[in-house]
Amino acid sequence: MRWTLVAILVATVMASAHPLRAQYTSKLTINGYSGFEFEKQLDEEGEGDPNGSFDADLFDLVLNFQVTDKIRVSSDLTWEHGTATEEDFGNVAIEYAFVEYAFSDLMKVRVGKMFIPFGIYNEIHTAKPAFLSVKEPASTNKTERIVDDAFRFYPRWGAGIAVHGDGLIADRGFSYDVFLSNGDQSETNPFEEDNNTAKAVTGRFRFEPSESLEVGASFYRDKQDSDGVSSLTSSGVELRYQARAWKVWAELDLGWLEPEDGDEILQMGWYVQPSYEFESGLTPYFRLERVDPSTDVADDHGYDVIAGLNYEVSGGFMIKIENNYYKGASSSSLAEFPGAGYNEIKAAVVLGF
Amino acid sequence: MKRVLLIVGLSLAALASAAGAQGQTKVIVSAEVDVSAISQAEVSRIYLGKKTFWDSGARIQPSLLDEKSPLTKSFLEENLKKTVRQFRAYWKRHLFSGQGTAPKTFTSSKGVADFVAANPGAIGIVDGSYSDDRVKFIELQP
Repeated sequence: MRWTLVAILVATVMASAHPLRAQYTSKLTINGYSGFEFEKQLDEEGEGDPNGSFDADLFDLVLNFQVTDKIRVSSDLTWEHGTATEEDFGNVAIEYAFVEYAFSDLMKVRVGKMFIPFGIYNEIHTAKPAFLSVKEPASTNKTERIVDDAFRFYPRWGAGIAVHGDGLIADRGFSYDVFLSNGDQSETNPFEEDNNTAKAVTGRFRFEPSESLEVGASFYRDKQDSDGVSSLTSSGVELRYQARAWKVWAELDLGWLEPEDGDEILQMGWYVQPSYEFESGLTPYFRLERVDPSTDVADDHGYDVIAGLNYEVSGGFMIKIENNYYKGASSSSLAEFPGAGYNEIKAAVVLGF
Repeated sequence: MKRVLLIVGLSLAALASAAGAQGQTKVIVSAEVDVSAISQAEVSRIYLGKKTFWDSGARIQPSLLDEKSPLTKSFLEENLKKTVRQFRAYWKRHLFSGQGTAPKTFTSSKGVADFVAANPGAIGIVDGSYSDDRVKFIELQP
């Protein structure tokens, strides 16, 4: 009797094994990307890397599981800078992990940890195969990389509830995002616990007036109550234009930071990035970036002028090389260096799969 | 002389016909999809992940031949106004930002048809000369 039961159990498991595997493989999609970088500051003084360092930048797995027609789970798991936890090196993180319920194309509700949907680059800032340059624009995404005393217009991530939708207005495409999250602060883990009752609100709207042009506007507001910051409000506009092999991406952000003590600070950052894609896969690009950390203070702004080459060797495999020329005004943090600036070469080999 | 001209003429006509057929594609959907025609604009939105549901509420699962196929190149350029590289770049941004997954690709029209036949709500792009009773061929309207 016991052996009969065992035989029935084994037969049941074997019979169910194949359908389970088939279901698993047809609903799960595995993608990812990896990147390797090199940076070297060319001038003697500056804030770059004078030694010229290799960086095992990242390896990310992007998993999508289509649970039902309406429900999808999406995540990006990252291992950065040659992660070795025993040595406390690098970073292991969830870039995003959320569950999506799609009521329709116009309304997809997501819950979990997500990138803040602001501007062009934030949601792809780690996905180096998804853009031309070695790094995302510092002027809108990592302002302190250009001038020390600048603040970020919004945090990278948030935990909360989001709604995304795609639709048509007069036969022209649009999309929108609204995200309610805990906001940013360092008192608690912001992906687990809020430090106040006020929630951060992010909104973005994009519209395609023609097949070659997409414009958008973003908004972020958070009552922070920590780290010396009372509240942060940012807004931005973006443009993506493509005409044959020519492409222009541009963005302008404004941020109002209200300190717990002192007057409100208005910061401005923008970039313009034209590029031309040759048939061979070679794409020269240029990017002019500017950050003004306080519009009330004269000559505290800084620039990053980038000239680079991106070569897509084959599908998803890219080699990038660029020079960043950082140059600051007389009252900026860059003014302490000879000529108020420095050059830094950056290169990367990246693969998306 | 007339015979030579006739042969040359017929050969040129055959070549022109073959060249025309090379770039032709057909749109197929699974038998459950209650659609007989689809516009270029709708196809574009489907293959860019902006329309993911049929009017019936069924999820759309797009598929096409892989990017090495000249049919895919012409399909993307004519209907999505994108080169293969631009299409790939678009999907890298879409995929890695968590917006959705790219259309499934196959090396043959039969592979696309197998996928479409097996998945309710699926849509595929196949060679214009391909025929298959398991799937429904629908008209692609300008």
